[in-house]
Amino acid sequence: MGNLLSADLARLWRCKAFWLCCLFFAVLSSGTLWNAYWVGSQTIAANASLETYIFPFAFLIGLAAAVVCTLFLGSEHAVGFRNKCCVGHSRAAVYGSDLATCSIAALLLCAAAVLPGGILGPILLGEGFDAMAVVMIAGICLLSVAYAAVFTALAMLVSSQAAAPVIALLLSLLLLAGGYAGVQRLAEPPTVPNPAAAPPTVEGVEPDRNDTVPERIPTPNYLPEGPARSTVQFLTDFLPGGQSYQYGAVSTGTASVHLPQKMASCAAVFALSTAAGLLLFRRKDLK
Amino acid sequence: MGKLLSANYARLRRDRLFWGLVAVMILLGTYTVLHRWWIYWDLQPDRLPQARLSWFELFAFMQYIGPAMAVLTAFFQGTEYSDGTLRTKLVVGCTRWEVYLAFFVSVAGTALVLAFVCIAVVLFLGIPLLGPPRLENIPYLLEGLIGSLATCLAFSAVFTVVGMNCSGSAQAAVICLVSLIAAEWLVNYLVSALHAPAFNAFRNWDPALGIYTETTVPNPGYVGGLRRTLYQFLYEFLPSGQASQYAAMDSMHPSRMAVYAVLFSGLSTMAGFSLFRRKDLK
Repeated sequence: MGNLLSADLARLWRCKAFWLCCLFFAVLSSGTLWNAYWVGSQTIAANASLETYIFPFAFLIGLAAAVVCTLFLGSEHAVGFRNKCCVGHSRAAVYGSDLATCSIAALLLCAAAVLPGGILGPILLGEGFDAMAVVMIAGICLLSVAYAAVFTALAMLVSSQAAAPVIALLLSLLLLAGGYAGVQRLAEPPTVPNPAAAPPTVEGVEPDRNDTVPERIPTPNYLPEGPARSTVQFLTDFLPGGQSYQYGAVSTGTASVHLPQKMASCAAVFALSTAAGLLLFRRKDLK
Repeated sequence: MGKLLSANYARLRRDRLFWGLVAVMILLGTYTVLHRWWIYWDLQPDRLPQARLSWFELFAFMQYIGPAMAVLTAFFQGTEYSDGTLRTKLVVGCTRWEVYLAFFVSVAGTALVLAFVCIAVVLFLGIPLLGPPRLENIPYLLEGLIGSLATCLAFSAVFTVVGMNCSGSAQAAVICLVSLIAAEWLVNYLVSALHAPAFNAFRNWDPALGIYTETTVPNPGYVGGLRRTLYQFLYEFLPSGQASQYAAMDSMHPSRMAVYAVLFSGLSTMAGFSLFRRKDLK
């Protein structure tokens, strides 16, 4: 296992896609911060906290993990797996070392995005991450490891070179879109002011705000408390896409809600995908 | 050239992915019409008889053609590079230019087939369900159709560049899809920048005068001058920008965009071929 892991890490070190993704995240974070510093006073977001600028990388962590995991493991299918099994490593050990390498890659991607914030934030914006932000960063790290586990399982099972990245990228987009839909649906207000019932505004006369209680009408898309709402809430918090969206759009405030549940779901996604992946990989014909 | 093309199309006819994409296009066309029909049925059933098939539905395929072509090119390229197919073609005496062009023509032909499948499904289902489209501005509609097909060519040309110059099919798939996602994101940014108003208007109640006064403040987010020209050009030049304009029917200079699309195809084919000519095929 030690030999396998050091071989995989050495290969990761030479993986161009991994370094490109790291570079992209580092540039994204520092660029956003630099931009915030430069235009700072002119925009309404001037008093936004550091995580508003750094966390949007969570939108992209799934895509980056998909690219890195599938490209890194794709070349294993040619000869790597067979050779490793030939020299006497068990399939579980091969899977475990690949999973560990991909998880480390995902964590390093997070570090590439967060570290510029930790270093440049106090210098440019005069503030660091607060305690809540640190907990959320831990959540994002867990999330990226969960993504890595899902895409490792996928890349270990799909032998076709082209199919694995396509499926992984489409899956991560689909997860993100699902998360977006879930968050939007949950954020629907129960009622809105009825535009038809608003008192007619007379040009030049201030509307009397006291004598009208604004009539409110229910919104059609609001999910009332009940099994439907708790299912959507559960899926949005459980699936990586929903978490990505919530962490990425941190200014909406839903990211810090249900944090322990989110972290537990990441662990569950990790365990489930690894169990399924390992089970199928042991039976896979490696030719 | 003819033999190369017939070989490519013979491979495509047996390609499960191609038929899968045809099925996806049929499903998407059906969804587009049924979704619109359902909105009428649910909200305004009495207005259903006056409903017409609109251009939105007709051009819905433009939203899906980019991703479909990215996936197809990646898979199509994989078989070209594996088993030395490409080398064999060169060994039997085809020139590199013929091989490149044949790949581009096969991919572009597939894009047109997928586009026509979606249009046919929309017309076939849309006319009975939603009623025939208004036929008052036929030249504009034709311009739009030709322009959107030119955009399909532009997508094929740019994915051919990746497909012919990237020996690993996994890398080709990632490059095609990631560049497509990046282009979509760029187009979204361009649209929001171009739609920013020049001035923000505020209405204030003035208690002393007893009237509303309106103050207009220049919008700092407004894009003007040379930057606006550049943004507008990119929005019309990039295939993703063209696709979003056709799908929303919100531009529109279809004839200009068609010229851009042909220009884009030509430029990317030239660039792609000059790279491919020097490529070491081992």
